[in-house]
Amino acid sequence: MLFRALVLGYLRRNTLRAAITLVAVMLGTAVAYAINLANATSVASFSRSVDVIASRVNLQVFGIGSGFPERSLLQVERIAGVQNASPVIEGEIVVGARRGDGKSGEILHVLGIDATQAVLPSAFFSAQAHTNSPFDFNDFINYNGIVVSFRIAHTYHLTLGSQMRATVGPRDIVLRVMGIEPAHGVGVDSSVAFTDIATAQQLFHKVGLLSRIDIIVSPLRLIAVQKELAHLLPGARVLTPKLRVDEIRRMLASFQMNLAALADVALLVGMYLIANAVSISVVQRRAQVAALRALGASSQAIFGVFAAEGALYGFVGAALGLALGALLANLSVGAVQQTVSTLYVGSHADHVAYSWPATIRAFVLGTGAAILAAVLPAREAARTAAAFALRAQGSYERDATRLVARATPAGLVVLLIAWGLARLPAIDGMPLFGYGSGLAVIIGATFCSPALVLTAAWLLEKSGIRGPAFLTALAFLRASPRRYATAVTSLAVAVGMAVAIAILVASFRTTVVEWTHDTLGADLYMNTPGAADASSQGYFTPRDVSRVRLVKGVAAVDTFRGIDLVIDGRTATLGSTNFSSPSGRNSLRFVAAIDLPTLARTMHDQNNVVISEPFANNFGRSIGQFVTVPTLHGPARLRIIGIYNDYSTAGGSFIVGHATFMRLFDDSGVDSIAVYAQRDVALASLRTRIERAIAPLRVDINTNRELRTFAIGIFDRTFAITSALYVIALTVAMLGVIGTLFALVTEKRIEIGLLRYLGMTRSQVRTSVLAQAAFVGVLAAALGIFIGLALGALLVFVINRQSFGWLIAWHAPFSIFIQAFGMTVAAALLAALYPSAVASQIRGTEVLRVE
Amino acid sequence: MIQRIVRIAAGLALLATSVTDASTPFMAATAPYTFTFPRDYFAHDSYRTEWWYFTGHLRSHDGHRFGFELTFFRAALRPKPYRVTPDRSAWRTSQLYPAHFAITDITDQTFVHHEILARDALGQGRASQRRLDVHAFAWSLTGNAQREPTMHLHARDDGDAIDLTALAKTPVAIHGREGISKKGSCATCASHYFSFPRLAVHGTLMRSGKRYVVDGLAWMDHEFGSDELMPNQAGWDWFSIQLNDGRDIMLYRLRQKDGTTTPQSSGSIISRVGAVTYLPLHAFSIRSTSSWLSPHTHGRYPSGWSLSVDGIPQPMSLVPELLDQELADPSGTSYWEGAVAVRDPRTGRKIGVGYVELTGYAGALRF
Repeated sequence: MLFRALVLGYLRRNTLRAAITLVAVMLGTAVAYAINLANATSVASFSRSVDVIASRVNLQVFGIGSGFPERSLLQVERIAGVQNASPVIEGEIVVGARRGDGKSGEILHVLGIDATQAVLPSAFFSAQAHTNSPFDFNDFINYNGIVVSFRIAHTYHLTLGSQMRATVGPRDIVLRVMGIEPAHGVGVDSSVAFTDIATAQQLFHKVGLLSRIDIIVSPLRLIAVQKELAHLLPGARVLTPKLRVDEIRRMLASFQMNLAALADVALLVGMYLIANAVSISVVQRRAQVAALRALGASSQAIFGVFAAEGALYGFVGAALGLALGALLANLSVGAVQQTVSTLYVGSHADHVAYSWPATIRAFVLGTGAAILAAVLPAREAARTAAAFALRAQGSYERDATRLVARATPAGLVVLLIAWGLARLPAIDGMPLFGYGSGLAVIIGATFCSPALVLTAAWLLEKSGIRGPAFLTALAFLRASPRRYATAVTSLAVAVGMAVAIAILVASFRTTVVEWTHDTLGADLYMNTPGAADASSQGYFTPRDVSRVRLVKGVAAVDTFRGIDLVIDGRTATLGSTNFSSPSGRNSLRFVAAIDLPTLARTMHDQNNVVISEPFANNFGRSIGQFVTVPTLHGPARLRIIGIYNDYSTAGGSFIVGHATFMRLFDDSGVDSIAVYAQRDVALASLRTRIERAIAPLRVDINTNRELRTFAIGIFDRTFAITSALYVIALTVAMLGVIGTLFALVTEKRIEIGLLRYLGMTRSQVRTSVLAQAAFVGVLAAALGIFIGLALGALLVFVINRQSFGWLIAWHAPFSIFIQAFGMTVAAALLAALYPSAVASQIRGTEVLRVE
Repeated sequence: MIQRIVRIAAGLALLATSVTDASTPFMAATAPYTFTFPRDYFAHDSYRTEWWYFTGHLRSHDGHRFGFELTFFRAALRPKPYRVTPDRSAWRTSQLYPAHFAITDITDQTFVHHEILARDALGQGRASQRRLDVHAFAWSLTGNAQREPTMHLHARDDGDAIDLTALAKTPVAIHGREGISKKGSCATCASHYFSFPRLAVHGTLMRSGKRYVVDGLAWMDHEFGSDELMPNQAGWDWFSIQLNDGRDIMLYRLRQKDGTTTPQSSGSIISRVGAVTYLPLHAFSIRSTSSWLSPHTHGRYPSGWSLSVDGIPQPMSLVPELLDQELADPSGTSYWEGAVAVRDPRTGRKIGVGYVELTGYAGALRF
């Protein structure tokens, strides 16, 4: 009853403001939901490709580097409890690449499986159903048959029986399309293709090897079989598919948590809006509330009614937000995917993986935030005494001075807590205290903002500026400092976030640019096409390298090979290079090392290793300590003799000398070749000569400048989604400013009408509202830049360091602040356009008649 | 019969008209052909298809009755094996080895079947050309090199297994004329086909984990050739009959799509001492007396026959020991292969046992 009387009727009369608040909650929830879905999707698409071959597989054995001997399969099959063991070769091919453009084309993940075995993907049978002819095993096994997804077939105009041109590393290959998975049939990632194991072994130069074995074990023997496998295949990793997915999940956790935290900021800004909206409605219905209290309504009942109003915004807004979020997720999944496959694992998600936990989380967060935001104003309403009704409207704001006196010290304490939290270490690689600190900064700033508003108003008063519009604006400000404070804070939080992200990106980018300058010293870099975001496979042979070395104009070459290893349950990249580079130009940038001559001398063939900074950070290692790596011959202990700067991997990398690498992994493949030109050799013609010398191999040759540009391009793509997020937060904040100003205009109808009656012009009224907006904008910009600096420092020095181990140099160009300031004030003024127009339409006579 | 493997193999999605290199053709089964034993017990890799087909009736010491089928197929993808080179995958395949295994529990009226598919890589499957040694994973047929060899059969899947020793009680019986068994009108539509129509078997059988010591009577076919069914042929009915009087009969009838019978369909009567009499199509008649609708494939199979064969004065009726003995394969071609009782229709007296194979009834056979 009370709810209907107090809230619903009111909302009907104030539909526009109700709508704005709803939109804010909706946007906040939608963004949080979309990002969570996109995150879940990138993990889900990966986990699907893990168990693609047989859903009953409960154990997988992974080789190191290029794999383990295929004969191991026979031993694995003989272990008691093993019901089925399927050999798998994993590799990548590139389709649709244009000649001369090493970055074109799409990467397909090829799973080479024993096609004659019973545990087959249904793709094989759908291939049959298409043609009404039997599946041709001879073509499939012996003549490079491949089964591709409908999407791939459609994109590259492939039909059953057609030839499919592709590249494996630098080499051209031709495959025969023998099956097309129906678009919605198999539930496999559409970038996965299947060949027979024979084809895959030859394509990927893995004859005699297996990448992994998928095993079905009777559940009772699972542990025992795991033990026997570890004993049988030293160096191989034995995992349940769930563990494997967990591994990926853990790898992505920091990245995803950062995204999720950013997304939640939009919701946080939405909270301020709800607080604002509810407090406005409390003020406007103060008389009603007092009357109800006089009639005997308890203060709990009043509290309940306004809390319910917040909840109503929450429920409706969150429900709408889920719908919008699902839509956004479909749009943003590509962007998240891009980043994930650039930095972590290659995968392709065709559909958003809707998950209940993400949905429930978003809904609970949305409604929870709304209710929480409504608590404070609802408490104010509950405190309204019956006698209060007799007093003038808005007088409760007079308590604001008292509130400022209480809130400001509290805010300062919270800011101090933020400072303390920032100094605490990460928990399990997650900068939880860092995020806590960020939240504390925002809360602290919120508590301090009424003081800021009052101080600013006081300063303005003393400034000596006069004029009816200005004075009116000032009077309004002083009358409702808390209202303005809320508007200022919500805008400031959004601005702060934008500033912080700008600082992070600028710092990071500058650091990476400097790093590429320092470390990319060779003249030309040769990669295989598509290697930019595919895992490297060592496709260049030592013979290819010597062919390059003999090209006229080449002074020297360096080679690099990297393989992924799992150490202490986390993935890191082990690289191999020659440390005796003649020019020493292609150097690592060491932050700590034993003396460099000794390092250069002992790296080549001793069990010494240099580690990257993220590695040192992630694995807690330092100089003089050891890293134990799995190898084909059992674990090997490597001594750490140097730490270098690296921004190319998030998981961490470490490097051994060529000879050591060969000894440990029997792997002579090369991922990339760095070429040093002789003096005065034109790079363009050298590039052509190398291409000719190495033909018909396809290579992607870049000068160091091109490579740098490319690296920065990857960097910018990675941060694209981050920028999109703060635009949304800013939009939500602008809605907040509109809401606040609009409420004020409505509330001050009578005053404005009176002023108009007393001779104030329309344009003076408009200017007055715009002046209030400018005031809000300037204060929000100031507070926002403060929040931004604090959050930026947190991101650069605490959160990034703790989640990724990247040491970033602070770089905050002044332009960031100028931009933030200009944009905030502009946004505030823009938001004020409509309310000011409404205010200027108020006619004095009309208002007076009502009164 | 060569068609049998081709059709079943086609159903298994193994073979197609274009499977092999045109440059290196397979040998065709052409007349005249002189069998040499024991050589011809072994594999013939230069022919496209080959199988060793065992069916039989078993009885445990406590009277439990079973039928069984164990078949090893060889399906060549190319006539010559790949040469081993460092950059050629060992998984490139020239021979595939499918195998089928079925148990009919006549006493309990249940039927179970299993199949596997091996390739000539990493020791998955093999069929030796020098001795009787056929393997598909752990399923095997081995034997000594005598003219009437002692053979060992082994197959196991889950709780079902057989381990049997088989001894030939009659000499080898060669079907057809001039060493070939014709399957169609074309010159090469034929196979080389012989049987051991009467094998004394003993050993163990396991059904759902329960082990039985068994003995009984089995039939073995060994057939090899290269040519496929003609496009106008729809399927076939094949019969093996072991009469109590010691004589054995083999009959096959190829059905054409227009409902007629391929004129080259034929049969054999094998006497007690192993003398083979060729039966052209006009020398026997087969009439189905009932039908059975498969709940697995919805195919309608004939079920029960009355038979008359020139040279065998008494009429015969064949009664399935169990209606559902279909080897249903959801992804390939299904067929019915089942134990039957042979009775005198006039008295109802049991005068022998047999096995019947029916193909092309559950969906179209694909080439």
